[in-house]
Amino acid sequence: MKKIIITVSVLILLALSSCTTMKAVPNEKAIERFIELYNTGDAIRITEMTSIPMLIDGEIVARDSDADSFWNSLAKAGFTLNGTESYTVEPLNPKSSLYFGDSMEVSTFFTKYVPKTAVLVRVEGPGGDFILLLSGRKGPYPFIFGFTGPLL
Amino acid sequence: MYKRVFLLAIIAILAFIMSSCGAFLGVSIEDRITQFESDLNGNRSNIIDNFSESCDDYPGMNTLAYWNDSGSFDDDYKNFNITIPSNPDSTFTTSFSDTSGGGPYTIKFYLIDEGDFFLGENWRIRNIWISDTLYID
Amino acid sequence: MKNIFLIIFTIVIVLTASGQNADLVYVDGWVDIRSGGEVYEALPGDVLRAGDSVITSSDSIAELEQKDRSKIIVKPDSIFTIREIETDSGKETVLATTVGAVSFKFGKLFGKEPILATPSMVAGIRGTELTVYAGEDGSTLIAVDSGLVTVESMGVSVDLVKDEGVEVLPGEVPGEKFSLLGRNLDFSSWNAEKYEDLIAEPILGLEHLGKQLGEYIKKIDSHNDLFNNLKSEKEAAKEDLQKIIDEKGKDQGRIFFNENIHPIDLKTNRLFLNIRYYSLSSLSFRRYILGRLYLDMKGRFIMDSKNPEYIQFLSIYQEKMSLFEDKVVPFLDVNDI
Repeated sequence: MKKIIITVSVLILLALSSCTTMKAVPNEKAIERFIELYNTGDAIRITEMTSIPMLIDGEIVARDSDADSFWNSLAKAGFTLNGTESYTVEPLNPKSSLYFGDSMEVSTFFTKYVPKTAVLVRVEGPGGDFILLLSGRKGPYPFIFGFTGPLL
Repeated sequence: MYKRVFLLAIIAILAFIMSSCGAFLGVSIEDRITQFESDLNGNRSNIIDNFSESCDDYPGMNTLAYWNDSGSFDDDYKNFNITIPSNPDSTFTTSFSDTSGGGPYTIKFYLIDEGDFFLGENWRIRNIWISDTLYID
Repeated sequence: MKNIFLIIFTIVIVLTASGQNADLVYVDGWVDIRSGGEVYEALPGDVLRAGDSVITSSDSIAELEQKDRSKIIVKPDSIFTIREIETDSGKETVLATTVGAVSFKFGKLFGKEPILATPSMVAGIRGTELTVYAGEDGSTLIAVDSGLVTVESMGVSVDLVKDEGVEVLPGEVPGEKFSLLGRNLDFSSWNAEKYEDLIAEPILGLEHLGKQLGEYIKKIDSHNDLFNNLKSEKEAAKEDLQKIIDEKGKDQGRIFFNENIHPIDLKTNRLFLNIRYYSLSSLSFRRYILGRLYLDMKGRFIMDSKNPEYIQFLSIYQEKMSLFEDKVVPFLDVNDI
């Protein structure tokens, strides 16, 4: 009986851990895992973790193929983010959209597509700091909703 | 006894779920026109919900600017008053007035029922003619 | 007998008038429909209406059928939208290919044939079977299998018949038409080649794309001017109305309003819908053509963001986007984003 309860509990935990949610606040571990994943250059996995539509600077990316091609071009260029210890996390605030641009499209994107649970992760990269807009979770990683940088 | 309680609980849960997604709250033709009139006179941000997405003009109408600058339904004109006949058909002609200084104008509506088994009837406006001119297609 | 003809005639007119809707009859792979600001998975049986888009991925296709048995095949990696525009001869359906390849086989039922559009051209058709290729660089390639097609770009038209094709570069007049006999057109290699040309000279390419955006903006401006003229006319008439009410009373004022202002009101909304047509076309162009180029340039220069070529590109791009924000965005709504 005990064995059955343990097996069922493990199965439930496994099922829960593989659940996909767009509305969970990413914790530190999830953010670090995402940066690590990013630095592996695994563009296919990053595309899987990309929420479409996605925002890249002021551009709304509405096609999976465009996101895929962007992540591939970054991987091809050898772009990586500096470490998992030197990042800062900022919760969403009314001015968050300004990191990406000051346009009607960007502000609409934030109100329409970005969950309130999203966070802005500021991390150093080539030429300056970059912002990753992360929320939710699928397995060990959060979804990416936006990417911008280097910040001036 | 337990069986009966269980059955009642299931029925109560189903009723709750259905009521929370709008079941039993059908929208009749009169309800729709009343809602449209109220939206014209009030906050117009949800006015598009009175229209069927099958309207050919839907993409153009799907903006507040259209309604606020749309000629006959201009937001300068206040107190829109649509005469609703009793038991109207899906296509009916009536009149409406406002404070523009003109009118009353003849207005013809064509509505379609977009409801389903769970939601019941849900009539939406498909076409409007004003003074015999096709106004919303 | 006369009545029967009249009924049949009316039915045919009604059928052709509602011919802009299209039924999704076949889907292979994952296909999205974008409708009224929402995106959902396309399934056979879905109905596409004016304003709706079909978005295929790299390994999916969709087949649409219209009531007159016209067939539309949306090939992989394509964005196809049904739109409507008011012209001098009434309302016209526009079948727009923003990017990708779409084949058309139009039915024989009489009625108004739709207009075909891509970011760089519009085409009028007559009883036609053809394929439209819209490249990611904004170029268009049209290949006609039967019938007659008139391709128009930047005010210049060229007629194509069976087995003829033409290429139109963004912001340019149509090129020389060519024979399709003995040529096997392959969209993906044509598209890849066009895109490589664009990315090889991105500043020049951006200028061409900017010219195309400028064409849309010109159309928005001209319809907006007409719209504003009508509004000024209305304002002037409203002043006259006040005088009439003061001098002759409310009843005379009502007659004046019904005869002079009400007809203006009836015209205004059609003009506004045309402004929306060009604004939504600009948005598609900005999202899928200009945006794609921006992303590619960002990826290419991510490790060298101070590169002078990139900085020049960004400055021109910003200029185009400011124009978009000033001239197009005022006519867009959150539902469009």
